[in-house]
Amino acid sequence: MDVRDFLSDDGQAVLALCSNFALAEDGPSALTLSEWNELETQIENSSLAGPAELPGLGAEKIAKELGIPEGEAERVAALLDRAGRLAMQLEEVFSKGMWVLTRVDSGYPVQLQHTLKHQAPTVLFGSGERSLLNQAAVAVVGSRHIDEAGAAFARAVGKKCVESGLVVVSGGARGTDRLAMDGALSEEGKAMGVLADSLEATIRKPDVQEFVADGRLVLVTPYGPTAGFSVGGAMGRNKVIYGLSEFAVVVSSDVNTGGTWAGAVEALKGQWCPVFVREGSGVPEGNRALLKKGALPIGDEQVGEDANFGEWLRKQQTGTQAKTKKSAAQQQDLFG
Amino acid sequence: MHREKATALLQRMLGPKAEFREGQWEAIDLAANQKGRALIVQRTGWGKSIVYFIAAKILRDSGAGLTLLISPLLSLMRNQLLAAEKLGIRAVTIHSQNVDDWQEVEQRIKANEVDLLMVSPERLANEDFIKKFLPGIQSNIGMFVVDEAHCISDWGHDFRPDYRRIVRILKLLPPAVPVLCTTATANDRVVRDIESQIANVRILRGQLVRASLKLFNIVLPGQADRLAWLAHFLPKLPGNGIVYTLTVQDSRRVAGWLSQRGLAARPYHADLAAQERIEAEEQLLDNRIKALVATVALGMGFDKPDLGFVVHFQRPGSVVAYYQQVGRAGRAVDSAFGVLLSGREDDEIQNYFIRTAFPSAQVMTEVARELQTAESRTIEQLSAALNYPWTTLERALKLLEVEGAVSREQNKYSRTASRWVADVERAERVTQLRRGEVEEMQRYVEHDGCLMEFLARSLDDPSAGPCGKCMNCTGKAERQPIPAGLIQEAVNFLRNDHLVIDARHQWPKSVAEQVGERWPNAVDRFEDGGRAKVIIPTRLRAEEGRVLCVYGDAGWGDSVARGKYESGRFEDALIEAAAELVRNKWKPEPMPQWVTCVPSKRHPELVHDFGQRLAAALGLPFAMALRKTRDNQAQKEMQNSAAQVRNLLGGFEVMEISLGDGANEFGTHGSPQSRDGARPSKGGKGTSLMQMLKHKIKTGLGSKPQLPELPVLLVDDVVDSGWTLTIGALLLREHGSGPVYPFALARAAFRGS
Repeated sequence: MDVRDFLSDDGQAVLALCSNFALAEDGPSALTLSEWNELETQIENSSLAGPAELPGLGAEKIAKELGIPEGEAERVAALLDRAGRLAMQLEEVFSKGMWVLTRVDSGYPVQLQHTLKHQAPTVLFGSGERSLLNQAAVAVVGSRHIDEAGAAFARAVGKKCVESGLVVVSGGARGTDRLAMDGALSEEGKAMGVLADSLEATIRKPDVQEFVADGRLVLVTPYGPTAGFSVGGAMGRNKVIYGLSEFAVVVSSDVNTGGTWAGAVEALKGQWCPVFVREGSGVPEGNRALLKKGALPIGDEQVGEDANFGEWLRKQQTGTQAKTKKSAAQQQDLFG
Repeated sequence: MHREKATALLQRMLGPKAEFREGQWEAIDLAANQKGRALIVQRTGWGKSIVYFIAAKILRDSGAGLTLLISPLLSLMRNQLLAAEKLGIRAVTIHSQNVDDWQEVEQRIKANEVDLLMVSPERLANEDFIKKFLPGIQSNIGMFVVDEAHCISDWGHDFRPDYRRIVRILKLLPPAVPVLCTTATANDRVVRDIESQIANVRILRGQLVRASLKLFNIVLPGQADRLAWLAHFLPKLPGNGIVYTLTVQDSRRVAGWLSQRGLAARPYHADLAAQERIEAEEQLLDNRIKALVATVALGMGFDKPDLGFVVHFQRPGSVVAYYQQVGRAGRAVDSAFGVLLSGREDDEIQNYFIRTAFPSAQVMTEVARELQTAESRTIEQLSAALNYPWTTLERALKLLEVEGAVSREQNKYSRTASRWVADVERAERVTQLRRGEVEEMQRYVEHDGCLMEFLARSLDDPSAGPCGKCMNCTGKAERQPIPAGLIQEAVNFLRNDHLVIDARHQWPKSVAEQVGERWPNAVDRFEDGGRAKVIIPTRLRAEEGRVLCVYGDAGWGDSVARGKYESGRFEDALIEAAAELVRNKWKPEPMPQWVTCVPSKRHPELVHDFGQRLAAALGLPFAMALRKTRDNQAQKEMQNSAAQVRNLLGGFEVMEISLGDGANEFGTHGSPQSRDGARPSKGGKGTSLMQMLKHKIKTGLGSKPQLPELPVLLVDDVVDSGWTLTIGALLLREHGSGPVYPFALARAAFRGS
């Protein structure tokens, strides 16, 4: 695997600036998303061809070229200076079968960029077949604790995606996520996992490795490859799940609490993609609440044996796009 | 920094008259001032280290970060540290021998008090290094220096998988970071290969030929002839030098011979402890010994400017390797000698190296597949699951690691998520190349033109031409005679060079359970500083044993091979030599009172006959006490300890010692009490054996055969891993025998783990 396959010179510079990976102990912190967005604009407006021209310029020149204060330029220069160390630590990561994509690399998932725009994470570490990231996908999300009916539904959605040639995207967490992904993988289908933590440890597992090596499972994370679990991290990666997808299906959610709820609400607000929510007699409160917030209903019928899942999803999309926008507008009127 | 200032630095290091050698300033300027990348190809002693020291200093003074020097050698690092100090460069190193210093080094790095950090290529992959030391480097890395850069190339003679990691790291560096690569040996093919792997690199090449070196080639097929040559001519060679051998065994043997002849020589090889190696190097550097008899372990980086000679006891595998070794001589002296002695065993040894250098695609695929079945495995576990030698598994894992298919944490290996497929083509290509290199050396040895020119051309040195000094240029190709008596003494030396069989005391962990099931008394668990070991209880272990020779070797080895595979019977001289060894040299205490042998279904006559005749020569009774219960595979096909033990489990059992056939016991017919022949009666011992056996029969035996509680000699023809003898001894002991002394005629030539 040659690093040139995925990481461009521009990408290397972005990585040095934006990734928390391999930072110096007492050195400057990496650029936040909004800080990078600003710098990106400044680079575009300057005479520099791209971020790749920054390393080696020195703080003074950077300040001049980009029209930013010296202090900021020093921080940029210091972050870029760690190139040598970063190279060594990156090599270690790559040698374990992982790669990295930045927003400026051609391999960065198109749908993600398109949907999240400036909210798209600058850096994605991952492992497995990168081309999967650009295939039509359905996000399947829900809580870790799920009842029989929910579990059956999650698995069924996974299976139906395979039948329709769609990739399943989820968070890789226990419960809904894994059921949906397994549902697809066990039917010779494909899946994407957006991990909140422990990418490196996850790809060491033999069953995961099997699917990854087979080209049917790709794993990504917007955090470092050895990042530990945090609630914030778990929440933060949810937008990537939605961002990679054409549609989203929420299997079960709590009300006003939990990652699933927060992610779904954000997705509806941002209108990232059509959000479907499981309806039926035994569904949790949260599902019903999401319907009121503009999510579309989906039931057992749509994932039944003979149902044409993909076709149905598409039909809903054209019909309801206007609907979703309208209901959002209505809500705004209500609340001023 | 300008040239004048740099020269001032140089003079601080080497004295007021010092000036840059041709090409040195260009290299320094390219790296330090222009922040460019260069591959420096210059012969040893040209002063590559001066280039990167001064470049590092210049960079530091201009505010850049520390220089990271990657080099494969411990000894190199020691010398370099001292040299750097003279320049006022604060150089530190971290390696496995200076762990006590690590904390201090870490702190100094954090405090930005380090100008040069030297590490080995292996260290770059070390988790500790990456997680602890690297983050401490606050600013950038000012420059990367890659020493022995020819290792980067597949085509180079010294392929090191860790160097591929270095290439991958370099590919991740932005162009603004300067890189210096240095090597003393790189022909065009290697240079081009490196160029293709490192972008924007300038090649700075110098002349490789060493003007003061006088080359000689002498073909002497027999080892005894070459030993005699050394004993005779070494004292006549000027100054102090190195004698290179291809194997550790030969290094010991040649050093032993020379010492015996009163010459100050000592061996040097990878099996020596680091401290011993340092001592040996210092002795040579201080001219306190005439010669170090070394394997390639005395490697690149060892630098003695006044080295008077380099003699090769056997032919190296390539011109590049030969030149690197012989090129050590003649640096700062007017006249030095490079003599290549080549012998009969050279081809076989080279073939062995080639065969085992590159694990086959099959091995690598099997290892990769096996690793997929679990989250991680140790080599131990792999050796239990796969029938391959330990070193083969190690090499396969190393290559897999570098190719990204496998990752390692301490001693645990895991399959990574990358797709991987064995690169059969590359392995074949490199193997073909190596064969070609061996053939080239075969031609060199027969070359009747200028030898230096041959070498220089092979290395693509554009200035190749007749040297006027080698044996062909001066017409001194005629061989000077060696005293015949000396050759005979060498033959005797080889014949007396017998070896020890160390008693095994530990079971391979992966088969410990199986062993315990079969022989519950034979397994003892024991903690050693937190690590559980499974050992063979002392009372069941064999004693230290002896072997007469190495199979197929000069001395007796040939005779053993002939006996085993040609005539089916070992010659009398061999039996005599064996008896001589036992009786007069070894003299085990207490002396064995009877002889038995390892049974073989395949060659039952051969070893049995040998055992009987040896017993007769020693005046001891012989009796079969072990027999095979089932056919197993040929033990020599078992490639590692676990497989070897498993193959033997349940394969033997102890049987009643047969008393009926007098021929069995004493080698002669007739009643035990009377013995024909002139041999002095060792009737005492024979009688006691008989008495003990008679006694046992009278008192009635238990369910299992009981053996006499007497010391016994357990013989086999060839010993390899030693497990057959170990288990044979264990069984004999278990059945009541006294101490068991293993003895074999020959040790297998190339041993497995």
